[in-house]
Amino acid sequence: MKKSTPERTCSMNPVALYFAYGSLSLKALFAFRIDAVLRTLAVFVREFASVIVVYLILQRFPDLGGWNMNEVLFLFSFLFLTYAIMIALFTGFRDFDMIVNSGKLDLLLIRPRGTMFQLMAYNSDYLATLGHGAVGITLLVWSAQAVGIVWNPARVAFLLLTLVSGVLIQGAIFVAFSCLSLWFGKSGNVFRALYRNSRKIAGYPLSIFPDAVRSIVLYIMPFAFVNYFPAAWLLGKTDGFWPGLPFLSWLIGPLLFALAYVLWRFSLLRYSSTGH
Amino acid sequence: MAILELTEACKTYRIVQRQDGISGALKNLFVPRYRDIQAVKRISFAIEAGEMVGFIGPNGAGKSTTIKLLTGVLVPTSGRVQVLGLSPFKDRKRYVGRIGVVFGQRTQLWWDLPVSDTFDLLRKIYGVPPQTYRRNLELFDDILGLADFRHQLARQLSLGQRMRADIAAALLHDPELVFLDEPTIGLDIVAKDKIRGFMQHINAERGVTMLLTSHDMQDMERTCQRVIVIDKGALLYDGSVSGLASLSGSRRSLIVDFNVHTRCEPISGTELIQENALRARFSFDRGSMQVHELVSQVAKKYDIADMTIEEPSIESVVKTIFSAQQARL
Ligand SMILES: Nc1ncnc2c1ncn2[C@@H]1O[C@H](COP(=O)(O)OP(=O)(O)OP(=O)(O)O)[C@@H](O)[C@H]1O
Ligand SMILES: [Mg+2]
Repeated sequence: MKKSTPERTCSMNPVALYFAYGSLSLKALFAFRIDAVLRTLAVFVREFASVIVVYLILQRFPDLGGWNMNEVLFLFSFLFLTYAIMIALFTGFRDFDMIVNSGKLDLLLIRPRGTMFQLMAYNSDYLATLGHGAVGITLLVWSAQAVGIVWNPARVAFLLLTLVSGVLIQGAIFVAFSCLSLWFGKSGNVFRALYRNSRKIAGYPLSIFPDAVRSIVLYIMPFAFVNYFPAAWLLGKTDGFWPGLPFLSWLIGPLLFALAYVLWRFSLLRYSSTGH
Repeated sequence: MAILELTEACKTYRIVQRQDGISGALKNLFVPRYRDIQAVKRISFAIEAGEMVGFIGPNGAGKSTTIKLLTGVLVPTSGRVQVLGLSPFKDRKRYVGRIGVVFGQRTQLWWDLPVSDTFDLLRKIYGVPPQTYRRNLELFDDILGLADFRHQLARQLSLGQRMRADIAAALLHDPELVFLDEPTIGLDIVAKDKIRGFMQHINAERGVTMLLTSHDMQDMERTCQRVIVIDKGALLYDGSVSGLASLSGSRRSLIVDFNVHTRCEPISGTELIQENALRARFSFDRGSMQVHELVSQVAKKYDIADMTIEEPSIESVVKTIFSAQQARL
């Protein structure tokens, strides 16, 4: 052999590399500037329309399980904010079936970086982030003011931790779905429907639902920890649940994500590529 | 010393049989029905450092599957895969930093971005030192002519340009070992020649070990010293290219189209098949007859419109080897 192994002295740290990926994703998205702006706007309008529907419904029921309209909109804002951040990080898992079918996963596996890292870094859908984020911030600012929340440091810290955990909960769900695809073949559609409908339920206070429906967003798609318990705490509502639950939310996110990561590492060994 | 060893490697794909309808979807989930496909059956071979090995076989033979086992993309169902002293799938991250892979069928370039952006990202992913990166870019510009289109969007490249860029992308980090799955697929003669020349250069000048698959026998003859032939997941032949040629009969044909109706006379060392008054086929053995000799003889005698040389196809090679082996048993 004529050549010795070259020194790998310039290996980039993951955070810097994540941003290198991110700036390329943005560059690729905004290569078609008009298209990017229109798509962002489309997401914003679509999501805002869903808020308006809720708004109209709520006008007929001024009191929803003890929550007024502004309080419900406050509850809603968590869903948008966490989704906006989550989708920037986990687009690769949302699109996992497509990435497998097109053979892109093979290309990630031949790179000397973590597969999960690459799926998180590659081709993030920042347009969805912008669209959902704009709806979320609008709702949060407006409803918090209407409800009269005073933002002291404790509440801000509570909100931030809640958002982090909410992102991790939904990220864990997306990762787990991708694992199921590895085990059972393409199954994205079934689970996307389950995710979307659970998210719809989570737009309303849990107290109005019968036990069966509640258990969906408590145990199957634990959205209750993304928005209901934390929002109730910030609004000073007890709704008759155990008062520790809002703080338990912070644990649920990291815990679920750790579980999803273990499942992922294990499931990846089952990957069988595509036939070309 | 062998740097790549495949020992009794098997890969069986287990595919889910889709069942239709809503009840089918539920069944898929809870009582899935499977079908097994044995794509690779107990294949063993070893490759020494610095070798350039061709890997051929008809469609569905298991070439791509073997490459995926060797690159850590797939986990073998049984058997042992050991490359550069590592297990490709177990030590994946450490391992793939030292190899380069080209999947000719799909690009690793970022579709909506200039080629140079993908290169720059790869430099960061692999941590390629700046002087290595610069030296490699210069070489690729030189031999592959990348400078002409390095700043073009990947989706605007021709197939030949895309393939050249993809091959360059797989070599930016100075891999010790390179796997190329159909690096010449769909290319014209000129583009194929360029890529063959480049592969040979990298192999000869840098001592990079290479394993490449192709459907084109010419790729093998022009670039490799050694070929491995597989069919239906099993190894058929492992040896020199010339050995394969002698085994498979290595008969080529010269096809001659005439301008006027012609009756050919036999030429010694060839077998003449007159197909019609305007076309004849001289079948000959590459050992006993030189192409240019035959061509000049034919050109002197007749009024010729066109001539083409037909190489034995992979399918016919496989068929001959297979029947030769049957005969020996
Ligand atoms: N991901 C997969 N899942 C299920 N079966 C597969 C998969 N990939 C390949 N196969 C099957 O395994 C066998 C070998 O396929 P493979 O792609 O390795 O062949 P190949 O030699 O590369 O063929 P080609 O020359 O057409 O590229 C084929 O029967 C194919 O249908
Ligand atoms: Mg193939």
